[in-house]
Amino acid sequence: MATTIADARNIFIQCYQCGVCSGSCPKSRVLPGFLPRRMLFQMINGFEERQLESGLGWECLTCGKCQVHCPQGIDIMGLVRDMRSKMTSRGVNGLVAHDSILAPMYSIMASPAIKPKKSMYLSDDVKTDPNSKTLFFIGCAPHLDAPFRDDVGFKGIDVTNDAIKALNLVGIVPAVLDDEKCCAHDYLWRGDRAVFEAFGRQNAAALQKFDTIITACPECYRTLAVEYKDLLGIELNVKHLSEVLAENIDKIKSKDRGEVTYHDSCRLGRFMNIYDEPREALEAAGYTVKEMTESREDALCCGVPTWVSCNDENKKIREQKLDYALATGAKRLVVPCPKCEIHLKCLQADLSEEGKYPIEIVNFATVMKESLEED
Amino acid sequence: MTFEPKIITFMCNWCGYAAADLAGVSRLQYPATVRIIRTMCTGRFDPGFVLRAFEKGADGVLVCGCHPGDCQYIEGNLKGKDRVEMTQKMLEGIGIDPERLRLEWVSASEGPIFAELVREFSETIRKKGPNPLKESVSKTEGGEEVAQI
Ligand code: SF4
Ligand code: SF4
Ligand code: FES
Repeated sequence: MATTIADARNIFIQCYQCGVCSGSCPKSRVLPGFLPRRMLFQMINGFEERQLESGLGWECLTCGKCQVHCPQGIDIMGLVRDMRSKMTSRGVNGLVAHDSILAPMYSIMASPAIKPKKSMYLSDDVKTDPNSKTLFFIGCAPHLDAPFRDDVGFKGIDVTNDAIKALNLVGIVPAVLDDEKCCAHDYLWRGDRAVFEAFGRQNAAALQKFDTIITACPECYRTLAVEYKDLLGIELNVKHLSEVLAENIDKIKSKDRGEVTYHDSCRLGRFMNIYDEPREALEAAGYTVKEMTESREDALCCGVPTWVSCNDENKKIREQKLDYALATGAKRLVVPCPKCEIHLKCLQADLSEEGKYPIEIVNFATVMKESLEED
Repeated sequence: MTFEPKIITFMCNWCGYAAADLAGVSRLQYPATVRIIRTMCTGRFDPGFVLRAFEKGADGVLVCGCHPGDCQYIEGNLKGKDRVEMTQKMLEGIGIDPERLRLEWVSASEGPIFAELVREFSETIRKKGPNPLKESVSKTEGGEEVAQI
């Protein structure tokens, strides 16, 4: 899925207002009046101001479902990103959840004067090799551990360690960068290219030294593999953990481990076409993967991508997601993305929803590490 | 010029703030490094406050609340303590020395203890040197804000 800044004129020529995008949009099911087709129409037919002033562009999940179904292959996501930067410059801002903490945290991390110490998160039994030509890109999962561990139950430090341990168990000992900077995916998708580039420039030289970069986070994966190339001109060979495990399938020993269901995070599925690899890895370990209603290209979003618009409507989407997961009868919901994990666990931890969603939400890295370790 | 740390202090109205007041009226000498921000309780403390302060170039952050058991709102101070500890973990990860943030219990009658605490914490920060972010923010809007207070 290409996502460059959309050329409105191009869309004008191509879009024939069929409405398939509105029909497939999960947000339009819960927020009447939010229709991608209408959004496009207004943007290309001289109602740009009205559309931007309405702020509806912030309601888009950027889940990409409309785009995979659009018969004309229109870059709707690129348009939304473009709209967001235009909205921001007009003072129509999106509501970013947890921004009182996240905004200054990322802003501190963006400063070249600050040298993070990512290795402090690694546990003693994790093997890394500074001379390796393969890098494990850590991402911000461990940074989100402290704010979300107690209240939501998100263990970001464990996710990172589990991912590297899983790699160790299939015989890969990667390097890690101590002063790795955030991939800045969220900023880019909120239309803030300047911050994205500020982060990107600091990472560029260090990342280019490696032959392969492995990441356990779908957002990092998409950003390093696609946006770094498109927007920064840096070509990297990036792989998601699930791809690496699928390549090493012979090293995974099978034993009956029961049923799980799998959530296709949008950045991994629709945006990068990785649907089979995680399923293959889970099945090789002996899990039976039960599919949810709406999976793969049609997967329902976790509800709060890029932390924008965590509101009542998006809560309904999260509720539906967990209802789908429960309906499969599986005991565990495997999620590849640390942030999807946070948003879904948050719903479970919601006091008014207590006990409503009795399913264990667990990160893909953790599941794979457990099953590799057992045998 | 010798380095004079800038320390942002969040103080509970009932204890820490009263202690600072007492130190003032008792004419106790303590370094002019602290900028005091009054909150109604340490429970009002938000990790974002600290992160913002560091982002804008503060060298240290001090949080003062009532002793455990003395909080006017029962356990706001303990909640504040949890948040301070959480923030320290976040700071360490993003590359800011967590010891630049400190929580102390100071009761309303402990003016001298407060003065001593400021002296000692200022010394600690002076040894650590300026906030690494200071250079980059000094020219921005936020930097001026901190320079003014
Ligand atoms: S699906 Fe594509 S062609 Fe159809 S209305 Fe939406 S953007 Fe236009
Ligand atoms: S779903 Fe929960 S964790 Fe996610 S943004 Fe909303 S409140 Fe925060
Ligand atoms: S009232 Fe002082 S800490 Fe709560």
